[in-house]
Amino acid sequence: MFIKDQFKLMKNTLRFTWMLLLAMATLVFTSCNEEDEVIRIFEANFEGSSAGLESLNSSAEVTVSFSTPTIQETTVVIEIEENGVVYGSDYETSPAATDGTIEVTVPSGSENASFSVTRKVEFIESGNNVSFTLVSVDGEEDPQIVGSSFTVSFEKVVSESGQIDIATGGSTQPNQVYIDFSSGTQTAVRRDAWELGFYNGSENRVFLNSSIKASAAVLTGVTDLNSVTSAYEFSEPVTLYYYPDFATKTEIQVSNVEELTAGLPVGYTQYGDEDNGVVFTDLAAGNLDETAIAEISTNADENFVYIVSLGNEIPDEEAEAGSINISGDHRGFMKVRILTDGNSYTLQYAELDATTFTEVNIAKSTYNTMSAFSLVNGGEVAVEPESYDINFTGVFSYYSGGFGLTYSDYAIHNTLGGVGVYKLHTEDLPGGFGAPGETANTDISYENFTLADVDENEFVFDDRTVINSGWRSTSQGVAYDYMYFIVKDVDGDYYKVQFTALLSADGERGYPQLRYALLQ
Amino acid sequence: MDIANYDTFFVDLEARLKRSPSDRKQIISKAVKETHCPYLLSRLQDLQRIYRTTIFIFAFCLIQQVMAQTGYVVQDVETGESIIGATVQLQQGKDSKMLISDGDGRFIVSHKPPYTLMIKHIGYRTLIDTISSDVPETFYLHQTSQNLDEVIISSAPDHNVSIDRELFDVKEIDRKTIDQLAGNNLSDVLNFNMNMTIVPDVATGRSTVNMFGLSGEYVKILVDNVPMAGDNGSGNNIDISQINLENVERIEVSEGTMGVQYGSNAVAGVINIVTKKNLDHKWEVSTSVQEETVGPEYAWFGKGRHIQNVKASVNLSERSFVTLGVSRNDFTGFFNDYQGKNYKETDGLRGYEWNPKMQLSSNAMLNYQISPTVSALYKFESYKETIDIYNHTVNARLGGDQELDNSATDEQYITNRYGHYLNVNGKLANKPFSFIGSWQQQIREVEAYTYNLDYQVKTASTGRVENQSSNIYYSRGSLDHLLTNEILHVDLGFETEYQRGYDAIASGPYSDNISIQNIWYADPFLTTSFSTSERYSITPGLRFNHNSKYGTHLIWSTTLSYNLPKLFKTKLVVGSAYKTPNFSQLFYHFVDANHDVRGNPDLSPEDGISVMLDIDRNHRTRGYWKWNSGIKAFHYGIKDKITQVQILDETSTGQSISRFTYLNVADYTNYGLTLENQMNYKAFDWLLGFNYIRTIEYLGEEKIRSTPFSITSRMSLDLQRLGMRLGLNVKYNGSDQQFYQTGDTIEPGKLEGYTLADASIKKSFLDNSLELTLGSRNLLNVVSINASGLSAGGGHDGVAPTSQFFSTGRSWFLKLSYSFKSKS
Repeated sequence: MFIKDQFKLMKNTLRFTWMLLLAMATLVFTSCNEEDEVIRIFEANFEGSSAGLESLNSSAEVTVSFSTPTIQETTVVIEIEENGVVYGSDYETSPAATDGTIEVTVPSGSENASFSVTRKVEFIESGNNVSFTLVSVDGEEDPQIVGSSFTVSFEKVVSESGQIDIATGGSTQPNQVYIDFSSGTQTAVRRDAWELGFYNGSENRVFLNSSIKASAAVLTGVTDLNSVTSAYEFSEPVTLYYYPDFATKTEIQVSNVEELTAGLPVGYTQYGDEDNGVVFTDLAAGNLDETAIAEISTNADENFVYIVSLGNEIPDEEAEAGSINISGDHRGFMKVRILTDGNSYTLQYAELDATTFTEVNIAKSTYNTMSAFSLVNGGEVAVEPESYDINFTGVFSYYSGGFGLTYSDYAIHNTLGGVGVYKLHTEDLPGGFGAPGETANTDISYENFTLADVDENEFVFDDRTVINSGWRSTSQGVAYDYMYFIVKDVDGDYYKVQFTALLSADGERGYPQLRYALLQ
Repeated sequence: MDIANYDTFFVDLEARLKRSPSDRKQIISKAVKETHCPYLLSRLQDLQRIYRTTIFIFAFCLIQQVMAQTGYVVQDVETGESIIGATVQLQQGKDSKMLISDGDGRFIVSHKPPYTLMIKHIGYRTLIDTISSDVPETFYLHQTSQNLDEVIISSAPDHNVSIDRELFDVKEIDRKTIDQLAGNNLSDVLNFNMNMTIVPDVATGRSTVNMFGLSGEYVKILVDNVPMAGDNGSGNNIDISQINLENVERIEVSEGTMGVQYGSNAVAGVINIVTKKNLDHKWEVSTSVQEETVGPEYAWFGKGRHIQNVKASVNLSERSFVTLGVSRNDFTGFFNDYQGKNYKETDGLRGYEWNPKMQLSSNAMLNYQISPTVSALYKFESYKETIDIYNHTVNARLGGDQELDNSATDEQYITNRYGHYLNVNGKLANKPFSFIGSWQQQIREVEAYTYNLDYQVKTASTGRVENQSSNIYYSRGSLDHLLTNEILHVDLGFETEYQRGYDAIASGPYSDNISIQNIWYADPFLTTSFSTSERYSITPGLRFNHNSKYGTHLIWSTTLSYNLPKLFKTKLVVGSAYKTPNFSQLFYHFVDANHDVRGNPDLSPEDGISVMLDIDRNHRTRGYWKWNSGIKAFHYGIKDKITQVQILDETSTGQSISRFTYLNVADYTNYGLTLENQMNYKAFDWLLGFNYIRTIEYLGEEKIRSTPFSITSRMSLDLQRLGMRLGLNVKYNGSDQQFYQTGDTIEPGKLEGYTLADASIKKSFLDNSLELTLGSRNLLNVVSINASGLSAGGGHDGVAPTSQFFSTGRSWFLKLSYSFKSKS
């Protein structure tokens, strides 16, 4: 009996062991491989918060933007609340409202839904308005409604504050963006759209496009453009300097154009002779007398041939998240000679080894401060808007201290247009590139800064690089939230401006964002 | 028969003798045949005294001796003294027999070969040998010491997966020590070894081993003699925190070049992990849980380190043994000043100081005895590691509602590794042979995703993208005693490996240069041992390393040993230190506007010399005191060591461009001395060691010197009656020179000294089936090590570190393990 029990027990234990082994084998061979699902967050909000319809038949577009494109046909439902006005007689909307509700249906893939409001009568009492409330977004799964109301008034509305998602365009920073605060607008232009900028003021000056890393070197005494090729030998060798290893200033004798082009493009090993004023880029500060191309003389014999490095292409390939990829292949060299009669410029240009050249006339415009020209495409280009405060140029380059330097996320202000800027920060700024850190220069935060705090003496009008790229930390991937700028525009209005983001939500560079507010 | 049954046996025997005293001769002779262990014999002698059968037993033994076929002798290998009373178990098929060596250390076997002998004696390592001829032979047993050092066996049961102890000084970390340290992976246990430092990398969570001042690139890590698959290559620069120790019997550490046995890159030493391959009862299931703090941080969920293990082993039959095990190690990350993954502020404090890592290791093994002389083993191992990299940067942007929307871009790395091993070994025409074949595969996948911090969900993802893959086919074989006579002894072997793979990370951050690389080698090797007396031997070895990339190279080494029995043992190992370039040195590619760092596919292998002299004083005894000491002197001279350098390239237009690459330019020399003393008093063991290394690296004109010094102390108290074991390990590492990557350049600095200490107490309950271990790692709470002497500033983006983050600080662990097993 006892033995039998023992045997039974043993048999059971063995069976148990086998089962355990089997269970474990299953565990061993089926390693779990679950992956967290990607959740789609769909947020909808009004773009901006108000609009003004000053005159009869004027209309305003009201836009509801989505954080991510729709994946099916979606209907946005907006409720109307009237304050002293009546639908149909005072104003109307398109699509039309029924029972105080507007429904806007958009197809799959839409990034926003919009409707327009049109004023129908001449006279509406001041203070009367109509407000729109975003009630629901039908069709989308679990939509989140944020910033849900928008007001249309029937008088002039001054946009006093706002935020701008600067259209730099991503990690290759393809665009330079001109920002005007008084109109709350931005104008984006591709960096490679132009190489030369012709000053529209009284002086006869030509700028280089520092956002594409253009540079230029004069062939002193040479006035015959056709005689210059890459094989062109100088009458005597020119002594220039460069740093092959960041540390040793090295002399190099340049005796022909080909040898010159080796050190002309902007880079750490760019040639120059700063002590004797030989610099192949416009200086950083952006003043009229600091351009690489000398003042254009009305005496043609004094205007020499320049070799222009066209800079670097905008790369096609985006960088990894958090990084930038701003310099592609070199765009080559051209030769130019510029003449002027004081009212317009005459540009002669050709490929470096060409034996004929093209000549164009560029008239001084009264529209903006600079007329841009593309040597590559051979024509004038619309670049600068009529008025702007800040040029968020993205890439910015200049020669300094023996090196050709390149920056990204860079902003300059419109000094030639009369805009002044100064920088405030409530915390000490870290140093970098051998520059000392800056101690805090205010204890007033961006939020608390008012018109009374403006210090007129601080505005800088003779150096466009006040903002530069020091508003952000590339290692931390943030815009410093303790730094902001005070801008005085051409009309004498004051704005406070603060950068609020360096990276996109997905961590990509080239999606800066700023907010601004009129000081009054 | 186990001890519990012995008494029943004797009660039964006595009863039978009392019942029929006239048949006592017959009864006792039958009992003598049945009993084989010293305990039984001593009991039988008592019986003899009672029943006065001495004469009969003597006669019985005499007859047995006359009838004997083969006589063997058991001797102590050091003293040459005969070992009396050693237990010999003879196994022939299913038949087994127990024998005892006599007063002259002799025992007689009456079976016809082939059979297997297992010779055991208290204080000696067990020896197993398969006999296929009836030539009389002498078996030498090696003494074991209580501690983990100098355990030498000439022919262990797993001989073919062990490092040859006759040729090299092999140190051993046994299961007891692993358990004492509650070691779940290799980085938990190696800290207190002489000549060795663990280098943790906070950024990647990897840990590598330095030996004799040489980096992990020069140390080869094997599992059962097979080079382990790593991120790019096999054997070298292995992340030791990936090596699970749950099914490990012991860890062998061999110091000095082993190029002849283990090929290129086995320069500083070899660490061999030997897995458990047998069980002395029918079946066993063991489980354990381990809870550990990470520095001061601990919680049931989300903080600390949580380990679970299950293992089951069964002797399915007399011929086959199966084991299966799973181990899970959940390191939930080290927060330190960071605030975890859901923190929304943009102050750079999101995430972790050390990112979380989850490891899942499992293994299965089948051991099968094909014939009395040949056995085969198949092993499957899988490893899965998940590392979550949480970005310190929070991407905050104003949303449409003028409120900040917060997100972060995180990454998850998943590494899967599978290994299949086949091992056949035994004797062929009385020559021991061994064959190992293995296939290891590693795939690493990465997923980059956007984590929305407001909703705490993933909002965009790249999906899993494979960014590393390797397949390694490896085979090794050996045939020993190919030519054997009294003075000459020839062993022959081969090793071959084929690797195919790529690694996007090692190729550099912006590399468009990721290519699949194939590399293989096929090396025959030969060792010849001459020994004119038992005191001297000289063992030269040669390996013809044939590498698909570097051609044929001769790797050589010689072991000279001189033993003065009872006094000391001397071993001199001189050999070539041959190392091939690693993947990054060859194929790294990082070129953008501000950087130009490129690997150099034209690098040649490094070569040099390694000299290691080891003198061990044999243990001395006075009363309960027992002590021994050893001294080791070593030297490495490596020519053309690969180093990252800045070079100036001349362009066609005469312009010089500066860039970084790898070149065979440095000359590296080191000298060192290690002193090791071991003391034993009753249950108390103490090892005290000193280590001094002087390193000089010449980089052209530049000379980099380093002279680190370290003191190691290991103490243990084994209170067997209480079922308790206490351990205290302390290691002081003196100040050392370190190199920092500053932008593109490497700058020297000084790292201050620090002391590491671990302590633990282990208690067994319920007849050893329940064990509780309580302990602390990094008792002195070393979190970071001060660094000084760095030239601040310098290159761009260069921030000179003032302290180097080192570990998570003092942590506590509690391990509870329970095993239940069959009675026999």
